[in-house]
Amino acid sequence: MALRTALTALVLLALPATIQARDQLTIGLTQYPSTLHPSIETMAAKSYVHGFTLRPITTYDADWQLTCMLCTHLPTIEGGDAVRETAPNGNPGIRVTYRLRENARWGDGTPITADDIVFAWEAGREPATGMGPAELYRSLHRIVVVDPRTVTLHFGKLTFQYNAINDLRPLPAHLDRAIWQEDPRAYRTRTLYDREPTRPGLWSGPYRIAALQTGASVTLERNENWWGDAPAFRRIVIRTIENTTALEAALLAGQIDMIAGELGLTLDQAIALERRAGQRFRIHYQPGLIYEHIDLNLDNPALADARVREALLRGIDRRQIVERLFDNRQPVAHSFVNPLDWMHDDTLPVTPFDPDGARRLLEEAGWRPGPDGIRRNAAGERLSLELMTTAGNRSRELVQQVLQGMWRQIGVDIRIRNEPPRVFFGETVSKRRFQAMALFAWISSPENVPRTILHSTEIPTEERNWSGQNYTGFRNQEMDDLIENLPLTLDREERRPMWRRVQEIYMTERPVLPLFFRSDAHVWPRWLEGVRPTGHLAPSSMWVEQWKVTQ
Amino acid sequence: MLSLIGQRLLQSAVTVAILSFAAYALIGLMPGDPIDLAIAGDPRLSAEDAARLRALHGLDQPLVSRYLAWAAGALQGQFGFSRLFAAPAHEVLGNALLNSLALLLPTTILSALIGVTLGILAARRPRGALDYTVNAIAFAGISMPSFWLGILLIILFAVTLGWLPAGGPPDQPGLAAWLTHLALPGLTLTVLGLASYARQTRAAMIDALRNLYIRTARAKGAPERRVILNHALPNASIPIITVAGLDFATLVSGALIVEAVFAWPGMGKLIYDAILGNDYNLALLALMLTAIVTLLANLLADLAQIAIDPRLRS
Repeated sequence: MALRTALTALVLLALPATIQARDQLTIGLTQYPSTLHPSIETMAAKSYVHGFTLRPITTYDADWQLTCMLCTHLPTIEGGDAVRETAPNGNPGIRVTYRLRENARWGDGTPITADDIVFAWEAGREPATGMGPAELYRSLHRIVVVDPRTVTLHFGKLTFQYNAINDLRPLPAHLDRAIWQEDPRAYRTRTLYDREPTRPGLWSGPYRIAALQTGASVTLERNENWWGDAPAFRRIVIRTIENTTALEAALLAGQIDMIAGELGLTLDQAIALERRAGQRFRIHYQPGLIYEHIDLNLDNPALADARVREALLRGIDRRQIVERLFDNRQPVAHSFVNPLDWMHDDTLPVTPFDPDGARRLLEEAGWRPGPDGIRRNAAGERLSLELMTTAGNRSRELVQQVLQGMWRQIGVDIRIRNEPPRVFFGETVSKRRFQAMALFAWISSPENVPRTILHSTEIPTEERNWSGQNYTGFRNQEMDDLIENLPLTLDREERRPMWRRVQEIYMTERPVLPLFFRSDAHVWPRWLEGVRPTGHLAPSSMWVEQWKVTQ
Repeated sequence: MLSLIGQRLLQSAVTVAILSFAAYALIGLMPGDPIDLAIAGDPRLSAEDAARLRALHGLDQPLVSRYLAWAAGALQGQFGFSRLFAAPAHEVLGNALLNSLALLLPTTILSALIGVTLGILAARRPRGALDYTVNAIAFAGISMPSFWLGILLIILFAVTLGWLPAGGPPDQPGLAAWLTHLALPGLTLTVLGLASYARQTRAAMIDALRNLYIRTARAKGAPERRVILNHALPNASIPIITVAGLDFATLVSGALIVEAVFAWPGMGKLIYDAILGNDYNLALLALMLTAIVTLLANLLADLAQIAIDPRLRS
């Protein structure tokens, strides 16, 4: 009896400590944000921190639907708050009116107004400010302030994503405008987001930045002027641990509570962790828009033949790769369109694993088996192709070796040559210097028109200063026309057959060998609920108000 | 002596100037500039954006012009802005340097003290049990990869026993918090560091103990402790000072692998990230600091050797 009383007392004493401990959430991340300014540079770690601390006007939610965060409702043509017009350059344009939420405030209590949007636009369109992608600022040629909470944006380009202004992040004009006006060129080094990031007025989300340890951690505390539902945790600490083994150790040691899937463990690590410590943690695998594939250099004489490209695809068992290497946690890809995206067409025939068919196609293309089992053409040249990827990426290197073995079975010799990421992306791929095949991933957004990767004008050349990402050198007039017309087709149902045709061309012409869509492994404690990974560029932290502690 | 110091300082200045250009050129000649890296991470960056950003950051200028602009600024104490950390380069470097010193200064001192002590003990009776034990420890320390030892210590003390944090600096201020966070990376570095001290000291002490003046001192009835510490150790200290001089330089260059395993934001990780991220200002400042401290440490080691060994003065 005495023992039971003592144990009960112990539990009761321990309980408040547990609850108190869960007043803070510590999250592990493998990257540290280089800047905290919302519009300078794009970086996953920064997006994750901003998910807690800033609210955009619009974003894609966990169901991949465009949604309002700072605005009261999504403006539409049907609703009358988006109206077609002719842009000053004579092109079709559109004006879209947004109304900001009445209670939206910065962390110092200052209302978020149209002026903050105007400032973000002014700073963004000034070349000296040095913002990253400027397409939005080029297209948005005029802003009319209707009242302090209402703005009309005039776009010089009409696209079906006319009401998605996810990248137009309001900036606190009452704090940062004077700094920018003083010297736009020096703004990126003087902005308060980097000089005094703990100023509450810079933040508009449920949390504000309370402290920083450069390269190590970001501490967030509740924003006293947050205008939405109160978040569960008093404090959130985001710790940067770049080495994923150390990250896992920190989780097991209880030093961090969860690992963000956006920048967390590798898939094989997460699978192993689930087997070892699945009772302690909930592990969620979220397939997303990161598309692992092999770009084929169509200037390579062997790969210029569509039959060889098809044979290569038929010669690999992608299902087995996904099953054996990734425990079936990553969906096989048949095109660049993710099955979670609405325009994915699952009625299109997919290329099966068919080694006999692959051999037949290679025979037809004039490649016959040589004495060493590797095929040769009439000129006696071996069918030997170089497969490159980023050195040090264990998962890709494993896939590479499996592919090498599979293609050997159909008589194709694969030479593996890998390079550090900065050389691979900075030089080899971006300047189309890979001899045959380059294995890497694309990151996109929901319903992303693949202009940069498939339009013939996007083939990188020296004359174009190596811009563009059509690294395969793919040229197809019908694809070009579809890419031109898709953004201009506002009706979703009218776009559906166009998207089908885009996927069909991609799957029959095969400039790229699709492999799989990468999944992020989100690890969180069993006492935490409400985390909804999105699988796209908007991080799960953007809905932190829904995260709850359960006992 | 003063003219020697003056000459060495002048040589050091020339070396630093040459090194700064070599480092700048090597970083500049690496494939892919910061804008290329940005394009790889953000498909929305157009050719127009890339050209605009290159011009803005001066990356469209020839390498030599960029270096001269950097050098002119550096000579006036303006080390520029870190692109990776969006802060003045000297501020970023200052924080990392403090973290590195907090970790490496105590571990270097501990390594030296323990290593020299073990070396002396081993040298007293070569091929004895203690000598074999010290040799085994030294070989283990030299041959064990730091990441492996680090991970083992994390698994034992952080994951299994839960006594110490797995890594990172503490969230809260206070000496106790710092000591617990420093314990595992410090232990790793101490174990690895003491090996070279133990081996150098053992070898030098065995040599020194064979000399006639040691026999004379013993014949005159000097106690063994005095023979070791007052007669043999000063004569054996020259190679130990050389090792210490080299170790002193690592205080500012950091310990990359241990910092990565224990998520410790020190100089090693900072230099690595700055070079790979094409953060010229930060990388150059860090490399120059490392070079200057290495040269000064070598100079101090040489002066210490001259002070200890009168033969070197001539």
